[in-house]
Amino acid sequence: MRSVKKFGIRWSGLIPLCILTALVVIYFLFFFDQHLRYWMAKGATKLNGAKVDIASVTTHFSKARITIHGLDFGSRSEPMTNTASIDTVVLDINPGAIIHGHVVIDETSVTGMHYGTPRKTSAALSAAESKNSVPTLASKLGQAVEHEVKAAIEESPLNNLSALLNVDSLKQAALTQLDNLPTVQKVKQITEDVKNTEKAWRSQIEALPSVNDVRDIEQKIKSLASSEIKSPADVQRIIGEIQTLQKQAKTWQEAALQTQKRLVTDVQRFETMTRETAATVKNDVQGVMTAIKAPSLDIHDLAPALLGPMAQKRLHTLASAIDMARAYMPNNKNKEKNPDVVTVKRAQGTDVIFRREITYPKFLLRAAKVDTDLFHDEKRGRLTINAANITNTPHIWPEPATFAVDVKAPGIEHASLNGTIDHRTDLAHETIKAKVQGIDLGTMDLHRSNTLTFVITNALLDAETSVDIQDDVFGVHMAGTMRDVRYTVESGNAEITKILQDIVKDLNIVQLSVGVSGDIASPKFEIHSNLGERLAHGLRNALLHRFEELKTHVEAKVRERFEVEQARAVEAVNQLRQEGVDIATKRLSDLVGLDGMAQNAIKEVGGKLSKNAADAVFKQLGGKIKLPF
Amino acid sequence: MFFVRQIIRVLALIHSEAATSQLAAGLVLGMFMGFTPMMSLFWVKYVVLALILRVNLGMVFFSLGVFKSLSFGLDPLFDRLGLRLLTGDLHGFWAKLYDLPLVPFTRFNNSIVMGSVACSIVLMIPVFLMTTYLIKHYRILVVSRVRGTTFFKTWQASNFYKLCEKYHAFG
Repeated sequence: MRSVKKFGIRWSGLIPLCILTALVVIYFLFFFDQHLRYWMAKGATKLNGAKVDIASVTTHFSKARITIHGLDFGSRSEPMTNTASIDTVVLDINPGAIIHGHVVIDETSVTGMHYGTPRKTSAALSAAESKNSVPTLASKLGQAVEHEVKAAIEESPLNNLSALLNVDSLKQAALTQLDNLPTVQKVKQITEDVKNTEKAWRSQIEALPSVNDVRDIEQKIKSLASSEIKSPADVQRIIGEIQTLQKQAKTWQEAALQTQKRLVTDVQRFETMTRETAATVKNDVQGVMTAIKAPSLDIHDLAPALLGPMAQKRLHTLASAIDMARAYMPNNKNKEKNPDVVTVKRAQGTDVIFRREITYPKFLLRAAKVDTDLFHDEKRGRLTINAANITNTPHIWPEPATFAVDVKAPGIEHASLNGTIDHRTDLAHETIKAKVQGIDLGTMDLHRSNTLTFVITNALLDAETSVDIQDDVFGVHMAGTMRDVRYTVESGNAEITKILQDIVKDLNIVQLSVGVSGDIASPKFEIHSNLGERLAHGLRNALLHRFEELKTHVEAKVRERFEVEQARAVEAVNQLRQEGVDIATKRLSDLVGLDGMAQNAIKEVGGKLSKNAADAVFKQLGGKIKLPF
Repeated sequence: MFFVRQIIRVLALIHSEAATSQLAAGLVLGMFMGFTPMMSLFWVKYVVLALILRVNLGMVFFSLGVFKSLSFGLDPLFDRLGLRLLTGDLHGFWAKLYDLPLVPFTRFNNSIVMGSVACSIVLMIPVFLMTTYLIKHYRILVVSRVRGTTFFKTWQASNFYKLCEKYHAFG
């Protein structure tokens, strides 16, 4: 019978225990690095928002060091390009913290950094992988600023510059207005009045004695003057008849005089009216210009429309970075109400965090010092980064996260960036001061539409930016200068091309000022630039020139049209004068002559009597007749 | 079928000449392992104990299966108990414990881990004593009587029984 062993130590159990331990050691020696590489790549991909590839990870347990080789950060916007590639990253882990369940990286060093390198596979994430990234600050800022920039672009006169500068259609529109001009209407009315008056005049002229009537009387006086006088009684009779004719002539003369006066007055009145109408032609020009809706000359600063998208892109990048910092370094406000108790998944219980006794946060990058060469297209630069206190639980770490970046790279003469991310309290507070010199902006669209391409093809940017964000209150200001600026203008309209080229011809330095302030829900976005002002001024002048040209054209057309009508009126008045005043004057003259003729005839009749005969006649008549001579 | 096989196996263990204390200790260790969630340093400790302590491994596995099945239903109870313990008067003690090296990896600060371990500790001695008592009395009252029967004596004399004996010697 087998002996029954009592409860105690089973020495034979040490063998499987050793085997188990050996398996664990083998795992850490041969497989742990692979798994660590997988988890690191996964975590970095989540942070980056595009695929991050890691060639290999080597863990040195004796030195508490992790070395990462071949780190490629894919670009979100250009999936076939790496934003940055790093040859080697060395992380020195704090072993004391590891045994407490914390990851504390005391130091980080980076060597061999490249950017803009091509990728063999796309860095784009699938929809399922990327749906977790929900930016808040960036989206809010993006929406608010995008709205303003979009409005500025839509209102930009560059959108319909060809239409604004093309005044031919306006000229055509002006022609259709000419018949309705008030002045022309008035002159037409005068012409009509003249014609109506002409009828009344004709009846008056017709009431005057005709030329034949005057001739008849003339003949009668002549025959009376030459008739034979046989007796004094003949003299008396002839003189009486002549006097009767003379009276008739005087009556006619009076009527002719009255008619002439009236006609002259009417003609003068029409001439005055026609002359006065000419003075109101200017009002017609204004009227036509208003009616054809001549272009507005009120062009504001064009900087928001031209440089707004660039500023918006920079702001969005900044806000995305702050979004990321707030997502992965949350402040107290973003934590749960009871910070000591963190509810995990169902059936997995609740983790109680004893934070007062914890020495380190769960993750802490205590210091990262990067001093490495930077490569881009076989060109070399230098990158220095000093970052500290980057943690996922900033509220339990006494110091805020800080970073200082200094870059000299291909495409950047020099850039320095200093910032603080303070998420230790309820109020998230980020401050950044950046100074860049000689950033190559490459090709930058100022305006691109079907009709016009207005592009900066070369420019170097020097700028200073200050950012101060407290919770949702934004304060960003950037003052910069773009130098060595060259422009390309392409348009189907040669005139527009020339105008724009002339405007920016000598503008090789562009001053830029961008400001965003206020609450994130309603930020006040301001952007000013001498480029915008210069363009506004230049376009205003070009439009003014066109406007003046249009005005001159309209004025000429209005005058031309008026002169045609005025000529008609003048002609009508002249005709009136010829057919009325001249006839009346001629009649009057004839009748005045008739009166003189009658007087001469009476003298002639009287002269025919001898003095004796005259005395005898006087005696015989006894002074009953009084002779006019 | 699996459960029937396990019960037969346990009955075989009880009927065997294995020490009562080993069987009871195996049951208790299985209870710890069954109640405590796996992703914790406690489990490493249990495995090491199972290997180096002279406990009946068959009973450990049986007990693990039984108590793991029970733990699914008892998790809410463990959660409440663990949370009360962690947030109660012992808060300072846990905080100091949490600050010790490697201890956080036990996940003792998790309510279910704490509740299940506390429950297991409380039940450890009663379960041990009760199991010992039950096995002893079972062996006296049932097994000894069965062993006295002619059928069992015939069976014990068979070659197949001897073969089984050799098999158990490994256990």
